[in-house]
Amino acid sequence: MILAMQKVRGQEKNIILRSVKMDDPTFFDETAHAAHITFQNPKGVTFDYLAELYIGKTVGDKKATSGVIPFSIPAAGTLAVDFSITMPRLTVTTDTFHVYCAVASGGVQIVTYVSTEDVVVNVGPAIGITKITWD
Amino acid sequence: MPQFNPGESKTAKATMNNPKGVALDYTGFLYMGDTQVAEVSFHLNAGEEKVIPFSVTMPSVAGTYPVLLYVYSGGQGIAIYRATEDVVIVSASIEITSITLSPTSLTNAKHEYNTYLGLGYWGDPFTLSITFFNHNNFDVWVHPDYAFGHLTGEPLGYVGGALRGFEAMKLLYVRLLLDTPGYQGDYSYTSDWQKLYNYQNPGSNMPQYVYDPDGIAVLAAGADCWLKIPANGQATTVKNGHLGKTISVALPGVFDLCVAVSGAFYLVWDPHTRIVGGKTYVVNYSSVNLDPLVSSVPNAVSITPV
Repeated sequence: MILAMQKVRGQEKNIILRSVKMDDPTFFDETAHAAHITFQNPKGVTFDYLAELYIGKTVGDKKATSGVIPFSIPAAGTLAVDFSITMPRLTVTTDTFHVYCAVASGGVQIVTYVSTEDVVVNVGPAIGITKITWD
Repeated sequence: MPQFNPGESKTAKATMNNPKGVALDYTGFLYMGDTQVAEVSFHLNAGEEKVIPFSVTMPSVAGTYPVLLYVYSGGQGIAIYRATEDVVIVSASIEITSITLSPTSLTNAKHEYNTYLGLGYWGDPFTLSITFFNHNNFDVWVHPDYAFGHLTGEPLGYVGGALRGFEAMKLLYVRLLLDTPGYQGDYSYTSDWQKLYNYQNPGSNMPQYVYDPDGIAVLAAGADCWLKIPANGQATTVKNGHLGKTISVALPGVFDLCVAVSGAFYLVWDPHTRIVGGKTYVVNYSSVNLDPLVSSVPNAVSITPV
């Protein structure tokens, strides 16, 4: 699916987020999922970027994160970047989170986007079985 | 590998933990081979580990069984665990530990006995004693046959349900149907094999019929007489027998003695229904047959002409 994003902080002068493709936004906790984000460099020179995809309740509240991914986009070019996030461990049976994408360049946080639709994380049942003995 | 007896009641204890951050309900299905043997529903709090017991009645058929635990939660299968050790169900075993014949020298003399029609005749008397040992921790019922004859040299045993390795000879007393009813002596329908399970010709300590712990007649036992060998114990049956009144084989002769046991069984907890006279009854026990058993005493008796 395409996850719609909107700018929540910063400017799009040095980078534009074009699209976010990801799985259906309902996940089991502690499972890994990928998002494919296409960025565009609107400038006339190549830029180096650091981007981070994370889920949380507010900006900077990183319940789960892809970590910072470095990449470069040539002048006026576009690039699809893969991000992987492992859903957080829950202490409730279900929870919802916003999806954030924060992009920095030259040591400066330039823009942060937030999803217009939340992702839902449910507890995926699991069990550990260590041994069977007999009486 | 853990080894158990057929039909034995045991408890499988599975150590399981909930690795999640919330409490969960589970259902575990324990399989031995392809057969589900137990189902238990349980609850584990977040991070909790518990030992979950599964009550299991062991299979009635000997063999090696993989133990598999399937766990479901929220309607979906979440784990399949195979125990590191398979379970071995051992063959139920009994043993003939002693066969004693007394005396061991007989003749072809004829002896009179009274019948309500007059005198009858039979041959020399003897006493046969057969002792069994039961290696299982459950009771076993047996009904032996015996015969005098010759070992053929072929391995003694049952092959495809037929006894091999022994040739029974017509040396035993046959009572005529017109003889005295209820006479306290041996009785046989054949002069080669005598059936100690016939109700008119049982060995000692062999009552007719077998009843399960609920007092219900065991169908497999029929109306035969049976010797009960207690769990991990022994039992002896004694038979006062006679040679036949006429012996057709050439004498003098030395003969081997053979004791054969087929149809031995034990009972297992196996609730099921039985329809009798159109009515359905619950029966808690089923019988399970043991492999046939045979033993011999070479040169057991010499018979000389008078």
